[in-house]
Amino acid sequence: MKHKGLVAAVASKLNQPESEVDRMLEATVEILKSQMVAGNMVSFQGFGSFEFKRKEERLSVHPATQVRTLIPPKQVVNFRQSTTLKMKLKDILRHE
Amino acid sequence: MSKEKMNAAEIVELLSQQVAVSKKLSDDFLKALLATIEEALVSQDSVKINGLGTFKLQWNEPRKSVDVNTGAEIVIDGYHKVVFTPDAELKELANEPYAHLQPVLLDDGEEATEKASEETADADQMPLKFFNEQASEIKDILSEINALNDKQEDKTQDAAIEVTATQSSEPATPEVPLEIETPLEMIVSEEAEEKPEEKPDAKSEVVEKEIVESSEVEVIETPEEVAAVIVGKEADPVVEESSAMAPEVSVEEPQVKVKETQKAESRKRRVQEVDEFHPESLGKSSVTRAPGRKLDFLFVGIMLGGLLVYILIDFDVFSSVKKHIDSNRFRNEIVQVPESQFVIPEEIPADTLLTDTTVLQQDTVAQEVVAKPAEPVDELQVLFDQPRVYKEFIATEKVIQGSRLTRISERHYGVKEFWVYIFEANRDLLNSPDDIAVGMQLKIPKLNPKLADADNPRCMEYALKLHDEYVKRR
Repeated sequence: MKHKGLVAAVASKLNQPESEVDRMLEATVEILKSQMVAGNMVSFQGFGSFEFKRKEERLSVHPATQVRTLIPPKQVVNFRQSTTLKMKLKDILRHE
Repeated sequence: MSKEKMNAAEIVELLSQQVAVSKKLSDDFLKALLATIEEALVSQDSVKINGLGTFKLQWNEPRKSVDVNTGAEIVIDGYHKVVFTPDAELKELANEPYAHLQPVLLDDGEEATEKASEETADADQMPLKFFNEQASEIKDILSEINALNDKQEDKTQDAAIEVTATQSSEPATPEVPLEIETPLEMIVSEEAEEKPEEKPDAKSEVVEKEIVESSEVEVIETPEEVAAVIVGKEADPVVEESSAMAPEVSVEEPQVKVKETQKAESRKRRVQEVDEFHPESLGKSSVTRAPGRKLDFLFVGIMLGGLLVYILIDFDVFSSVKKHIDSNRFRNEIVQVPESQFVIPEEIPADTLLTDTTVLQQDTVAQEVVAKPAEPVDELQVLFDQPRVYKEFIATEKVIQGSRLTRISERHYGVKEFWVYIFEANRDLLNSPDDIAVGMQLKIPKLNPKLADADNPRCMEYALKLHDEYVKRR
């Protein structure tokens, strides 16, 4: 499902025009970002939580060339699914 | 960075403020949004939100594990997991504080510098180690030599005293010692040079020092001992010495250089010491001979060692030369034998290698021998070269489905390689080997048994050559 499909689905649920839903979705994303940048953890009950996580610097050695590289620290977005979502997903038929 | 947990309610509030909608609507919106995403995920779909990222399902395989409490093996079921992949935009935003950092290649620079520092540290200690080792080695050698000298000294003392008598008269002429000063220096320098040869790593400085030290020590030690012994003799008048001089000189000559060097050294010592102890020069001269003799023994020892080495090397060189000569002789013998044998088939060029007499004998033989093996070669070549005309045929073969020239050849001649001759005999029908078609009447020619000799490699070779020719032509 792409962005448009999502907006359409939400709009049909809320009986709201897609433009309004699109605006709200955009705003939600902005809030999410700003909260995360501020260092806050944003959690939606029953869905999961978003968070920035810092990955420490590390030393990587190329297995073939033995070139050692110092990888600097970085910050990544971490999404952690909630347990309820996990339980819901258990009902899905087994993969293959 | 203060970590604060924002829940949905707070987000809803923020959202309603930002978009200026009722809290209820924004709350409904958020719930609807999450529900929609959930539904999509449950139906195994991925959800993409622009500016945020993609939610996806990921299947985690079941895996074996161990129960932490019981230690029993358990299998963790496979499960689906929601994976969120942030947009490039969000990723950059997240990494903003560290965006300026770049991976650093740690080439061997650090290691190299570390190693270098270690090496330099080692290098600083190494010379000291070397010096110590060398010093101890040199001391050992010197002590050995001293031990030898002490033994011999007892025997030679009497003789030495006589020698002193002869030489003590010489310092009267001041010119002589000046001239002979140089040889001693040379000897010392020679020793200094030869010493390090024994231990290639040795620093000549150390060796020289050691030698100087040791000689000084000897000088200090021996003079009193010997002086005490000699003083008694020195009391004798000079007349005795001069009279003793004549026979002594004659004795000296046949003796080895050892005495010459002794002289030289003793003279030098005297020159040094005459300034201080002029009246006692006689006693001193005899006294100072002791260290000189020790140096002589050292020198002689080194000479003997050198001689030994030289002999060893000589022996080696001689043996190697001898081997070389022997091998040369052996080779000559080997070379001579085959020449006479190979000459026969090789005809004329071999004649030049032979002496006149043998040429006469072998020329005739060679020509006879050569003539015979040449014949079959030529015959075959002639056969190969002349155009083949097929007049006699042993059979005709009707081409059926699946017929191959090679198979026909194999059936009639026993060898598939001779298909080329069947092809040649049917050139009126076949333009190329591939033209063979069902219903054709192929004539199977009777082949010259010499030409189609399956046992003769040359025939096979020729057939294969023809094969290549025909196959390539198409």
